[in-house]
Amino acid sequence: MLQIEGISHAYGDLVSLRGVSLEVDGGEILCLLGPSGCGKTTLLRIIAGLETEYSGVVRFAGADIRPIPAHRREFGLMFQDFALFPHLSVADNIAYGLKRRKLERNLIAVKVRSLLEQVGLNELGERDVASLSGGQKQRVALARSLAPNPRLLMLDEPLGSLDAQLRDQLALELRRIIKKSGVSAIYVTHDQREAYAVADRIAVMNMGSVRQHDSPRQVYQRPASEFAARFLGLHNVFSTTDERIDALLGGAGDQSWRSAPSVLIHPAGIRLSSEGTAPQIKVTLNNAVYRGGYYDATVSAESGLTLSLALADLPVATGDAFLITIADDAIIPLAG
Amino acid sequence: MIRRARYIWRTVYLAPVAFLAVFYVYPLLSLFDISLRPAGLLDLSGFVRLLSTDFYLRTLLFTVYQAALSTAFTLLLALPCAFVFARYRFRGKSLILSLATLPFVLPTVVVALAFASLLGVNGLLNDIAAALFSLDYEPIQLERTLAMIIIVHVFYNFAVALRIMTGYWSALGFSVEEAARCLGADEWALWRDIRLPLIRPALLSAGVLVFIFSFTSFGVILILGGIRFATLEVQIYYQAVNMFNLPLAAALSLVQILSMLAMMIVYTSTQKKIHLALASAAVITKVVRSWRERLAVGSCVGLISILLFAPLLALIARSIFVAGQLDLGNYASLAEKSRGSLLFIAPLDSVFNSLRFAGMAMLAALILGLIASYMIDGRGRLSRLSDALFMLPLATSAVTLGFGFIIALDEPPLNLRASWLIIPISHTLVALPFVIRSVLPSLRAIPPSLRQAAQTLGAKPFETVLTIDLPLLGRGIAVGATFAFTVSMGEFGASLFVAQRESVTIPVVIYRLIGDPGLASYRQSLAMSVVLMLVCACGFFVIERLRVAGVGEF
Amino acid sequence: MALRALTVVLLILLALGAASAQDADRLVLLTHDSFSIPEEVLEAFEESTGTAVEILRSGDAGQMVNQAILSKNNPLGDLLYGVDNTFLSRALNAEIFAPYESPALEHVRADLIPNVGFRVTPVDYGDVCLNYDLATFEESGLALPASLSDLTKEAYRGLLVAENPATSSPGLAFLLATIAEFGDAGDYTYLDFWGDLSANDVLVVDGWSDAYYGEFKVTGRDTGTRPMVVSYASSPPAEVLFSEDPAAGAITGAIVADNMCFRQVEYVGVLAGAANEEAARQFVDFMLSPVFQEAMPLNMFVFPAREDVTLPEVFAEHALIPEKPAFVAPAEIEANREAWIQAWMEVMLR
Repeated sequence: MLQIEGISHAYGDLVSLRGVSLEVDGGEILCLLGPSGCGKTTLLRIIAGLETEYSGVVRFAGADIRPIPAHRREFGLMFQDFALFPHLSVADNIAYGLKRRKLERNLIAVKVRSLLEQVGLNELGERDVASLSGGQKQRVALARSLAPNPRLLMLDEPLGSLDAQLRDQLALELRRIIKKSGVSAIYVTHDQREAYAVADRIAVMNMGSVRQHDSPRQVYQRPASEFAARFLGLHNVFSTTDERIDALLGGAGDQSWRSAPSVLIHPAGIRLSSEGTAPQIKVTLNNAVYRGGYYDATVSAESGLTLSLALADLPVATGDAFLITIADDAIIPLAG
Repeated sequence: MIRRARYIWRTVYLAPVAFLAVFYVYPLLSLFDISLRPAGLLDLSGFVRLLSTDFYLRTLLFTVYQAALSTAFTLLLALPCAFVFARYRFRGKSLILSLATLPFVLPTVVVALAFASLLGVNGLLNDIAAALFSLDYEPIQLERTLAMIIIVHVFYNFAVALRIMTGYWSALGFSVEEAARCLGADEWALWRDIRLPLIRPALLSAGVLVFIFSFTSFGVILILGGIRFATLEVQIYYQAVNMFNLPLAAALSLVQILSMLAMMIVYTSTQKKIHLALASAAVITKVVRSWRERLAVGSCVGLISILLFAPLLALIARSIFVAGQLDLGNYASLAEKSRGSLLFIAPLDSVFNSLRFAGMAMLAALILGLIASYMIDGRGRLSRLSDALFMLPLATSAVTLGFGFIIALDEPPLNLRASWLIIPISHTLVALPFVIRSVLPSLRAIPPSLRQAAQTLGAKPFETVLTIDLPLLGRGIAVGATFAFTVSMGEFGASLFVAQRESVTIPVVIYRLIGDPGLASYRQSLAMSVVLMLVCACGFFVIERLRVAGVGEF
Repeated sequence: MALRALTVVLLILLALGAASAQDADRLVLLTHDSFSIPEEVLEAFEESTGTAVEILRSGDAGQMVNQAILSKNNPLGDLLYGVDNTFLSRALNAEIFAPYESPALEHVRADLIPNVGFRVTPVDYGDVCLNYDLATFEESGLALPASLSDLTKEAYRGLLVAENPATSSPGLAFLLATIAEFGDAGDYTYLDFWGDLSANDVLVVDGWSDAYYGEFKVTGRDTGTRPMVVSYASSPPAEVLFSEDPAAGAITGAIVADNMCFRQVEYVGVLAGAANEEAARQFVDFMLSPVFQEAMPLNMFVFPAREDVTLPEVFAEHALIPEKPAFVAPAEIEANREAWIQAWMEVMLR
């Protein structure tokens, strides 16, 4: 549906996008995941038509949409600060895009009512938007951007200003509502948990370019770059020139990691080993933090290398040694 | 200990209240007393006169009419400019915004003369047009027309409206507008549905303020309009000074005060709306790229430059060129004191008078204004009451104040009428509301937790004020000082009444020189106006620099 | 830091304005803006008495009197010169003057001395009347108006510029002349006259200099379009004196027909509570001395109150003195001035 090719953009001397290419299929939710300042929001603004100074091509349904101004693109954009019209009621906010499409008044009223119901705000139609809670504002913003049946929905950190507990719950609900409407969507976030929950596919962005473009599962299990691994909270990233890593992984299994600049030892592939299974690595437990259901532990190998891993139970006391096994598929070569 | 501290505070609070009571309430009451009971008996002849003909009603209507016209034109010009200033980023923007504020601090006499130099029958434009097209008549006939008055009012108030709206628009951000664009709003729908409704509180607030300023316009109309265009304010002066009809003048003053009070109430309510917090993203200004954007920015900058610089440059040109030749004789003559002149002192001496009085008024207004701000910032009925109380001088015409001073402060122990002290005192009174309005927002912005933190760290109450409040108030204080200083430098209405002999200030000197028939005096008044303009501009820029440095520092 | 800098600025400002010195032995003459007398005349007084003279000008005659009344408990000066017969009653009613009978009064024209217990002393007088451009009237062959009511005739349409009585002293004097002529009650009052005058396209401006230098047409001088103006009987000699070629003779004339002029008599009075009352009395005498009286015509363009001083040649030659000026009693002026002006404004400034 949407294709962007080689988009570059700069704010003065500050380059914000370097040749970004992406695709969004019909009905798909693509998640742009990356730290703040990586260019995600700028990319959204370019797609929406709010940013007009850039190089590259934006196509929708095969047509070049670059000359089309924002108000004729029929794309929905949900702003990070929601950008609700402070002078309009909840219902009038939602109706705004419908009125621009010159819909009949009765029809608008029906649509607004059904949208209010869809986002669970049935009773609040006449309320002043200033009186809403954060979660309610988020729903109004969503309903408003969905109302005119956009050809593409873009959401810029839609849960960014909400607290963590609310976020998990709302992320799922967002996915449900978007999927139900069948619209293609681009979802911008810096929170990987949110991305896993919402996305069909994830594009990991850093410093103005896309570093990886995969399914959520693939992104987590096989991060493609050192940046992606670290951004996803996977700490066991080592330079392949480090002699200690050679000592740790030397000889065993697939040696393809040696040709990459760095390597990730995915914590999900590190297990406690019982006698007899090989190869075994002897490590000392440095410390462990209970996370509710599991422990976040750090251990050191004899070579002095420190690894993080999750343990269901503590096999030994802090300072004592025990044995672990690293699965072959947990050794992931990383691009720089 | 705590009780003693509170006791001390109460005593300190008394200072501004006492000042107001003695130098505002008392003169005003005296004024009404002498007007309503001239012979010790109630005599409402002033009001009877007021209502006996429709002349004064027409004066009131004209005052409203010209103020409404001035407001409409000011807003019409300032609105698009405010949009451009809030929306776009371009070189020199902050400088222009700062310069555009200059007229606001320029005294009315200077501005009136500047426009006469530009647009008058013998003004620069007429000379240029006559030379260019070899005309033997003057194509621009604006002297003593309503149009001239309106133009000057726009000049005056443009920056006020621009600043209020630009500030509000910037704080509003543009994400709401972009949301509307994504929902299908074209440029026209954006103005109709989003921009105008959103800017409305600022538009209203700026409008009311401009209306108030135009409603009370005195110097501009006295010099450029004449009695035919008399506003209420000019009519008060005229009835008191020329006709000596004190009961009528007082009756008119009362009408003026009541109208102003009504407008102040409207203004305060618009202020509350404007302070409603608006959630917004960081301000994203756009770089100017397309030719349409260039045209928009270019026209705004051009408009402001012409509006601002043309009259001031005309004034300077008229003051240094005599019959087409550069001649600084007008300036040289300012230092001469001659008994044959209209003045008691050499014109240049009035510069020292003005600087001295402005310094004193600034200091006094700052001290009293700070205390008053604390009083207003407090809780309870007293604070609400004092808020309204300290705004009263703003709602009273300077002419009325000066008039009241002369009547009330002429007996021991307050025999100040012949003393120069009466001038800084009257200026302090006029400047006080400006200081309070500048300091109060900063004061209210200080979270109470800061003071509590200081107290838990062992700071005594006055140490808290000294180490926490004052540094944080730096910006507000500097802005208040700007206003106090420039308001005092340019104050005309009250000074015209109370300034005597040696103590005349620059604006009074200029006015006297204009009134003196003869070309020499007129040229002297031009030179004097340039001097006052420069003094005001310097004071303004010095404090503007201070303000920026202060903000950087704290 | 910012506060400290601010304080420094303030201190500098305060230091700049060290209070001005007050000197002891001086006389302050409160007067109007038109007061003008040569320096050497004042010096003659200063040398003979040892008292320095300071001149404090306070606007036009009306503003000056009002200021003096407002400040009578603490006078701004020692004596006041320039109150005229249109404002005299106001000043007298407010009791701002201390009586003083100058020995020089015996030389003064008797008809100028008011019967007010010597609280004021006449110094000079002048007549407000119509001036006209000689060349215009000669060329057109138009006769001069012989009475005020002639001015409403078609022949004089659009020829006259007058001053607003609300803001101009000659304007008020001319208004009083019309009131003396037509009265303020009856079939045809002064207001009817002004209404007709307005219909006959009279131009009214705020001040004398606006009218005389701005609108009055004098052939050979590049200003104005109206060949008749409300001015003074002494204006034609002044015009001769200031012209580039005084020998060429008069270029304007004054119309001094009966009841067409109004006489303004200017008085001086010692202010009650004056700081330097003795010097003030000396100055009153001085103003009636021949030195001062003879200097007045060419400096203030008024006629001296003393009968025995010689007039300057240009006055003797070109100045006309009306034989029968219009008269309105000062008390009547005081009682009605405001109402008359107000009514006038309502007719004329619509």
